[in-house]
Amino acid sequence: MEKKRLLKGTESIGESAIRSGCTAFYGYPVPTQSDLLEFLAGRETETPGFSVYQSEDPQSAFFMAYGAAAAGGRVMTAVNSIDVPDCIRAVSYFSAADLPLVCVVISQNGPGTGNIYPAQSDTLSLLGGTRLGDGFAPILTPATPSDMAAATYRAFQLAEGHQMPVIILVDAACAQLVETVDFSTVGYREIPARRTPIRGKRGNPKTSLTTLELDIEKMADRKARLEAKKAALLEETPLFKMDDAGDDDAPLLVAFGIAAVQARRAMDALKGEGIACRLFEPLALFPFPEAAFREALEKAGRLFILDMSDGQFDAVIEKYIPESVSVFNFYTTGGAVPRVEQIQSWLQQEIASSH
Amino acid sequence: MDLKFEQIAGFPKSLSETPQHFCPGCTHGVNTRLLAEAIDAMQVSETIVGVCGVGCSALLPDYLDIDMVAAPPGQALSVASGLAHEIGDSGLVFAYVGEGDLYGRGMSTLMHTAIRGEALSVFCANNLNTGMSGGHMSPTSLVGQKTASTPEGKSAVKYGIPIDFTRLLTDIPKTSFIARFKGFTAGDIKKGREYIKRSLLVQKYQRGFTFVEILGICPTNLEMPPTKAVQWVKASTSGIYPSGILKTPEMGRIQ
Ligand code: SF4
Repeated sequence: MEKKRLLKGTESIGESAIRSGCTAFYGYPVPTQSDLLEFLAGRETETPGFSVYQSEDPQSAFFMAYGAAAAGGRVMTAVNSIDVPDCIRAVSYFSAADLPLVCVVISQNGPGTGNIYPAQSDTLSLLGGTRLGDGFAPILTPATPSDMAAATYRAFQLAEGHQMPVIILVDAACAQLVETVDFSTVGYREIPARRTPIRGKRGNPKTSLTTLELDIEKMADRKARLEAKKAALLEETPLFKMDDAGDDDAPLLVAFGIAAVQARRAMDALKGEGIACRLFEPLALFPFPEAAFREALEKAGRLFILDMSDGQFDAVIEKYIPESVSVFNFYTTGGAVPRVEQIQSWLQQEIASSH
Repeated sequence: MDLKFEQIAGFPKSLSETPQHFCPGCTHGVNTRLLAEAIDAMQVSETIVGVCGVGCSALLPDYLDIDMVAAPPGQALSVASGLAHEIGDSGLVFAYVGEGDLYGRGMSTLMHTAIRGEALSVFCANNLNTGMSGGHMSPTSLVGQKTASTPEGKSAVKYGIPIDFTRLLTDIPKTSFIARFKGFTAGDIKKGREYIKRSLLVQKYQRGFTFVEILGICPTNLEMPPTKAVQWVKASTSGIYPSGILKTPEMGRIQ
């Protein structure tokens, strides 16, 4: 396989999935995520042991994946914002059944059918929704095609390692970013399967996989097992990027996805004008890289939050922000990506007035 | 004189000894046994995987001594398809699902699974109501039938006239063996056992989508003693849900 390829975000996820040993992709075509289905369908014939299936609806894609995972498959699905409820329901079932799944969610603009422009308005529904019935799933938030390749491999490692569903959340703008991805930097190794697949008894005692549990104590045991898994997940290396162009007390920006990409561009432009900022980019919303964020905040008197929703990201991070820190927000909604000049002048103004 | 005995009946190997939760007189018990007998007769207990739907069939994994996966509402055939994709020719996959689950929430999935021609044997337990939920109207409930959600009887004006869903499947090119039986008399049950076996056989050697509907009773929700429930179902469904083979791989659509 070629080391480097020029790919857009969704394609990089697809390519990385194949390199991570994905055996089946179950997809349903909806704008903003269907190019992943197209890309993988194009790779199917040349990739032995890998299949692509288009389902009749997103829900069926998840549950075909559920059956395939039960039989030992390493599966992936994708939805856009409109089908987040299907994703949440699936996370609940995969969590209860201890089955691995990687689900890509491409965020577009709502509510309702909305439009196909990018947004970051699925943050709270995914963070809260994946807790349905006390289930949970890691939510990774890579922004660039290179980060998406790494996040996809990480997602399969987490899914197989902990036997759990994992979400890769990407906004519709990042999904279309194009760059040369150097897959040799990801460091793929064979991910060991950790489960006895359900394929008929074949000489062993029978296996039953059900999420129905009528016994209250046994149900409590299941929840305790999930809690233990969550604790083990929180021990994993936190995922974030820190761009340190200034001193510790320089203004701190926090953003993920396309907002982080644009923030980084604005920072570069401001550097030329002698204004140095730092950027904290979480590469996961759950588990959130809390310790690193708190550390970055320690000396920062001012925090600049960029987000493409009506403040959903604020709601996620506000609990980590000490009262002594002044917080400034920049939201774009409706599907507009914050422009570099907008961010630049916002930062210039706020930095000048808050000195 | 030496007498040689040959066992011709007994407790099916693939039936577990776990006491079943089904109400007295319920035909789910008969169906479960028939599945076990067919699995034994086909000698596939080591390579078969079963999928059950929700409701009264959801505890099937406890009653059959084979690998089983329980599916969420409406999604039994998606789960079964995924299993079949991974397992391929090395095993068999069947699904046992109630009609409320399969013809209601699962209708779109049923049609598309059949259209794709997934290598599955699907068994639908049709007892004219959604049993486990407490006897509510299902897609096959008859016009005038009193259920928990149609206390005055199912209204044709409001809900239309139920159709023979099994027959719908016969028009789909990639379905191969389709049949229906009533699980009531010894004769019916004998025929039914053959249908279940044949459906597994077709799947094993021809890899097609096979479908057998088992018309049964839910005496609890019909609020009738089992014998009366049998009489009522027989009398009121004969023109709507006829028994027999509807399609075979050799002859195509028969009925
Ligand atoms: S509720 Fe009806 S279908 Fe369910 S076990 Fe009882 S009799 Fe059988």
